[in-house]
Amino acid sequence: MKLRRSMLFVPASNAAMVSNSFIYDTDSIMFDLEDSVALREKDSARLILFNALQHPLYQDKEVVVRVNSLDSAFGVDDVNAVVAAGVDVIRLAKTDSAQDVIDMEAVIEHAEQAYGRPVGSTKLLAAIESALGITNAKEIAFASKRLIGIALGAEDYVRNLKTNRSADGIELLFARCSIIQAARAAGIQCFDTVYSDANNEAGFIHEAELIKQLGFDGKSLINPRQIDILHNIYAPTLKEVDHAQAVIAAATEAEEKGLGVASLNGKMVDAPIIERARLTLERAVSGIREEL
Amino acid sequence: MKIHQSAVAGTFESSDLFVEVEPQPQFSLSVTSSATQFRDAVETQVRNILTKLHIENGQWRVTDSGALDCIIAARVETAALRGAELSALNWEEM
Amino acid sequence: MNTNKQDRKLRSDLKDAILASGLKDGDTISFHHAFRNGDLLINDVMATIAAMGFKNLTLASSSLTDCHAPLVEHIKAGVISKIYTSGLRGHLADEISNGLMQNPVEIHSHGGRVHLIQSGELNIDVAFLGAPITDKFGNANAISGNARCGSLGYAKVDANYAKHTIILAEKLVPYPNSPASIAQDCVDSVVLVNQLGDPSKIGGGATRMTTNPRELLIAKKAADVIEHSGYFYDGFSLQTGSGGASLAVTRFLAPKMIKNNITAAFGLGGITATMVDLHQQGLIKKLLDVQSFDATAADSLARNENHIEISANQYANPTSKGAAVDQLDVVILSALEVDTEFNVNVITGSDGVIRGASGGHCDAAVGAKLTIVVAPLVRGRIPTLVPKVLNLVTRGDSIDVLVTDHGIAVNPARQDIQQQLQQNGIELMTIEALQQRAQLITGVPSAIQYTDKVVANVRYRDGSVIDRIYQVAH
Repeated sequence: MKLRRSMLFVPASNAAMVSNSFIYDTDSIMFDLEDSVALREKDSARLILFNALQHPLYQDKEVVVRVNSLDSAFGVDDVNAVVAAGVDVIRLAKTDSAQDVIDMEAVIEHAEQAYGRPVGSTKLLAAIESALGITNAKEIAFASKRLIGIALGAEDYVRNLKTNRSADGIELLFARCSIIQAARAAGIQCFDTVYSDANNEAGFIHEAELIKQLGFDGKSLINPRQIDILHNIYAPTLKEVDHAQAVIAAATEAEEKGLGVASLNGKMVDAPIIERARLTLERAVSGIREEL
Repeated sequence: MKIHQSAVAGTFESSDLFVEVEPQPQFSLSVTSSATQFRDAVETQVRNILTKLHIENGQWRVTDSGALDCIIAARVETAALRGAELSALNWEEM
Repeated sequence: MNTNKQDRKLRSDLKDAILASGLKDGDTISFHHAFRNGDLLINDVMATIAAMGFKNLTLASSSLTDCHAPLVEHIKAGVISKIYTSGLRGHLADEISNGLMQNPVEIHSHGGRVHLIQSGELNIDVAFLGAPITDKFGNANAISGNARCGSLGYAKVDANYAKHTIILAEKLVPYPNSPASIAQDCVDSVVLVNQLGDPSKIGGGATRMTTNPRELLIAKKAADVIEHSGYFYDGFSLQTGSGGASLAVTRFLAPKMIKNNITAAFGLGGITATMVDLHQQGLIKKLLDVQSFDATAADSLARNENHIEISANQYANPTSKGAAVDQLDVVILSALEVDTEFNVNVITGSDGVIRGASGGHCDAAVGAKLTIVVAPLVRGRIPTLVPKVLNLVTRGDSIDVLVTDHGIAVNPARQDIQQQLQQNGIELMTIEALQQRAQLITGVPSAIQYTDKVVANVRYRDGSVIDRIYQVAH
């Protein structure tokens, strides 16, 4: 499964940002056509993405696009444009039910056929932003084979709960756990919401450590300065890397010798341990955790 | 595609392009750029895009602030669609 | 007994001081640029000189910037006919690029200026040196007062070599004033003026650390390069330029120094609040300061005994008996343009118009063991890395590593650094591949059209003409 710790959020209407966000070492870039784009700029932002997605420097980046709701005047045009341009993942905002995913899937499939893209090549990411959506999290997570994951959108969700966001995030605990449970049950990834105060580094670190411990694969980011901090939090320690390498070595050796079960220092190395070791090594690619 | 109404697209911010078009029977185009050594390249690209969109009328004024190709294309296409009162391009042809 | 002897250097006003200097048409007058963009002195002195009717002067300021636009009128009126400077910006630079002057401007480096003075080409008749505090005998400094600018490293040279030196100050203190950046035995006249500079433009409080994510990205990469270059050892030495990314390198280097138990023996050059902070944390033992870039640095020079003022001759002159750049391990420099031979342009923009300064660029690049240039690969649509620089200031053979937001390239001449970095897992690209990447983003620009008129000569630090800047055709 692709490593997706960081998704950098970029308003598609901002020419300067679209022109250089590929320099950042983020796992995915998430362009927005929805809430960060003014109504009268929807057409222009869509055209910026249609052209930018075909730029060579966006070819080796995973690109996610948050499109407008299918209920709006823009949703179908958005999907058509980004599918035609070869987007990797479409982010469906404000997903309340499995039917929302199914409806989006139909529009995507239609676009894939119309613009000569292989059917099924466009992936989906469903963002849940309401109490209804959280209640339906499991059905949403199982709604489509295109789903790479589900995500929490906290701003609308806390408004819906009639509360607001706090530093410790107690109000989000249920939603976060629901999303993780549903995603893991469906075998897909899960992503946390943005931390919107770009200048509060301590607050960001606090939240990122919390969501990593809860089990999230990653988080949406609003400022490139947050990328390294997040990757460092997800980076394993040197000790963890050494252990993971030993696990993989033991597993490989056992396989070569035709042994059914591997062992390391007298302890059994089974499939979940091997899988975790692989994830550790993957997360170590961008560096070993620096303790500051 | 025919320009029926006046339209603008883009901004004067760095790395962006501002396009204005007024309906007129003939075609005219003026281009200025803060990146002077790319002014000619901008004009060539704008002409190519308008040709591809089959646009043969309108008074076009383009002010470039160092936009990359993809931004230039997007802003010109937006102004064309707005001026022609259309909602979307035929993506397949682009 | 002569009671007037003690006050003999005091002049009633600027005009009186100019008359006493014996200034005549065709002479060379000099200034320093420590007041940076807050400088009021050069314009005031030139207005007075123009009003007194002098013509055909050579103006030698250690540098010139945006605030010196009024010089255009003095050039048009024939008061100034020749200029020596490290840099030109703004309206003055535009006009000169447009062919304003008959004689080309001589662009020199900070070290190269001292060399030109010592070699006799630049022969200063009258030096007008601003220093906020002086005594009546000319012991002057700039570590206190409204227009404090800290080090007077450039002025020290002029005071030593000018035939006649005038100190212009805002405040007179009892004799003897100390420390004396400029000492009494170099000074002929002392005159008080209302205001030498605008404090908010001299450098403000503390130079702010950039929050631009792209500059921080470049700075972090540069710090990683330093860490693994082989030149990151206890007792190493460091110079940073004043650009955003260059300055921010220290932010990423400091934790590496703490973690690896490394302290720097000295920090050199233009000193900023950031360097002062590292000094006060004990991470940099001494600061060698030729120019203080902000009030924090100026105050530190006054307070910290290991923050040491040095002259431009001690800083960077290649023919000095001792230039600190020759003791330097690591320097991080900025660039307007770099080419695939690692040549650097810091004087003209991509349109061929002058808008920069040679500064200590080539001096530090040649001196340091590891010279790193940091720059965004592309600015807007303007490529920084090009097949050939429009104008040459620092030769590629003195540049070791180019760090951009898109990747890092090592000069093939430095196989040792390349191996060090690769062994430590730093990803490298060839400079050609990086240039291709820039071209992929921007496309190929049209060639700039020039007339055959030379508007400036770029002088290398040894005095040789390394390039000529031509008038841009319109």
